[in-house]
Amino acid sequence: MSTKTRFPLKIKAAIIIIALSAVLCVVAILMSAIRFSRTNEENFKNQASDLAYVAALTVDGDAMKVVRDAVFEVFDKIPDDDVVLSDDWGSDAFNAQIEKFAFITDMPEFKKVYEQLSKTQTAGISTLASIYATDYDFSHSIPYALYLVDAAEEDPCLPGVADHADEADWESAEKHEPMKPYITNYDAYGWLVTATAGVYDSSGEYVGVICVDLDMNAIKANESSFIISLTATLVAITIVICIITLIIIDLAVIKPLNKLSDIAVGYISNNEDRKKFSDFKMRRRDEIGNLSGAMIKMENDIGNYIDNLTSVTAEKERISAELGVAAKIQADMLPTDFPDRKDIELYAAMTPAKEVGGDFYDFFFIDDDHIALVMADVSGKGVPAAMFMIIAKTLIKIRTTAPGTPAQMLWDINNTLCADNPSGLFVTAWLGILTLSTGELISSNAGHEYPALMHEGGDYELIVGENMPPLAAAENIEYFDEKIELKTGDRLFLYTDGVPEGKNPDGERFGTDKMLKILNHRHNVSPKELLDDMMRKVNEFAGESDQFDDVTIMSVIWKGGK
Amino acid sequence: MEFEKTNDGKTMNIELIGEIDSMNVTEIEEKLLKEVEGVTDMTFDLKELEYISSAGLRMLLQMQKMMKTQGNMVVINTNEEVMEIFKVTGFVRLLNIA
Repeated sequence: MSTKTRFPLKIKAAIIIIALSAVLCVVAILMSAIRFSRTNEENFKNQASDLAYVAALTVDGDAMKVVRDAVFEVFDKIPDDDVVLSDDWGSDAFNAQIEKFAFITDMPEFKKVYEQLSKTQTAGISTLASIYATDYDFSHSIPYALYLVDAAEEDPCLPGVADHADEADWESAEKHEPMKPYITNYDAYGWLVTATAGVYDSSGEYVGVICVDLDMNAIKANESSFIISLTATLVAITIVICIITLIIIDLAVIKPLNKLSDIAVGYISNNEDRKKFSDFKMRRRDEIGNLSGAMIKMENDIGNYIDNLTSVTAEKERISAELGVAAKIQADMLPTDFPDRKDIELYAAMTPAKEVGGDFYDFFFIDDDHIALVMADVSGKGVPAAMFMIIAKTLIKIRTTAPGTPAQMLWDINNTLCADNPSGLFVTAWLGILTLSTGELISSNAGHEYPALMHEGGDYELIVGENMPPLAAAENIEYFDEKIELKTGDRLFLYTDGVPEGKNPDGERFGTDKMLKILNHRHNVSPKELLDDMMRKVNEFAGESDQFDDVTIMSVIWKGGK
Repeated sequence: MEFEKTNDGKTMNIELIGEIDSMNVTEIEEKLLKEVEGVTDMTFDLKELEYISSAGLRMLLQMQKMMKTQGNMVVINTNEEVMEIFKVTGFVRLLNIA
């Protein structure tokens, strides 16, 4: 049997690993892209600068001076307001302006410079957009950048095309300083990296600049192809690492854990061929190995414990069964063949507590006219008390059948019990002998609860006499005889301390007052009915609390004398 | 139960408190048996004792038997309820009740 896992470790591990890998990938790609982009732009700017510088050296400065002067001569004549800029490319005004410079393209100097630039143009740099010569004209109210020669094959900027000169441009141009490349994005020209380098004639005079435009789109295309290949590589590697990691986790952690879990689930089943932890020994020095070792140890410990428990339980059951037999023997010793006679009605009952106890009652005919009544309670509980009860009961019965008064009988029984009593147990006992023909009751009390007596027509009352110590407590005790003349219909109620000392859950005791009250509500019921009622009342009183002591009661009605 | 012993170990005062029955008497008896050696005067103070069952009486009787061989045992401050138990069980004649 395998337990179903709603959120398996495998899925969790996969989610975490994939998420972390994704984050790692994105960060790596972003950082690479930014870094690459910056380096790339820097490289292309340098390339543009170099190219411009080389071109500027290659160009014939004298020829370019001639071209420049020709362009400036025409441009200077155009009034401020009539200057048309490259923004109006293709318009009539634009074309008209260009037309004024058309003659320059036929000049041999123009052609020379054009050829020189064209050679560089065709040198084979893929990102090169255009290469051209310009100069800055300061004859008007604002400076203009004027195109001199453009080597572009498509839509070249013919001489006379004018643009606003950026401030930095013309300041650097005037100072004859090298100029920094810059990136522009104008509708007319597109996204470009532009680098410039000064051109000088044979006398070293500044005659203009060579500009090199590199196409940013081509550069960026280069960049994105790099990022795409980087991403693809990273993702592929990450996927492979994820899969390998998951396989390792599955083999090293999840499979062993599932195995241990399955064994644990099947462990309690009584199936003989169930798998055991010890069959699944893992020689590993990691935490899983420790867990496996711990489970094997637990399995062995539980096994030993169960074996131990089984034998202890068996022993306990045996003892319990034997105690049950003891209790049964004890209960069977109490007579239940109640006399069926006209002169006496008698009934007795005992409800034992959970444990074997020491209460007992007895009644037997000494001869046809005398019946002995016994109510007794051995101190303590359990097997010792039960054994002592058997001895006491036997001794009482033997001695009572011989001549003498109850007090004399108790003297003898007491001394016999005392003779060999190291355990210090004792028995409280009430012994009475009733002469059935006359109703004379002679009794003696050895530390037992006072019996209750009801004279016909009156109430139950306790026979409070001079109680002497219980049997077996001390040697040579002189017991007293108590003589009572019963009248027809008089009732005697005998009991052990289980009745008055019964405890309710609040800790209150039943007490003799309550017992007498119950008796006095039942003057005329039969002994059996009386005892059933009394037992029920005692149990009701105890309620939830365990019946702690034996409860033993006897009811006698003398009906003789008529 | 609480008890105290004088420094010379000869006098021992035992105060029995609450109810004593077969549930707690074994523990009390075991404790007393550990301490009883050498004691010549043992006093049971029953001022706080509310109830004593036959098991408790047996314990008192055992202590009394033991003390007879080595000294004297006396029971003091017996209240009405416990005295009634002593009367019914005849223990008034067994114990030295002061």
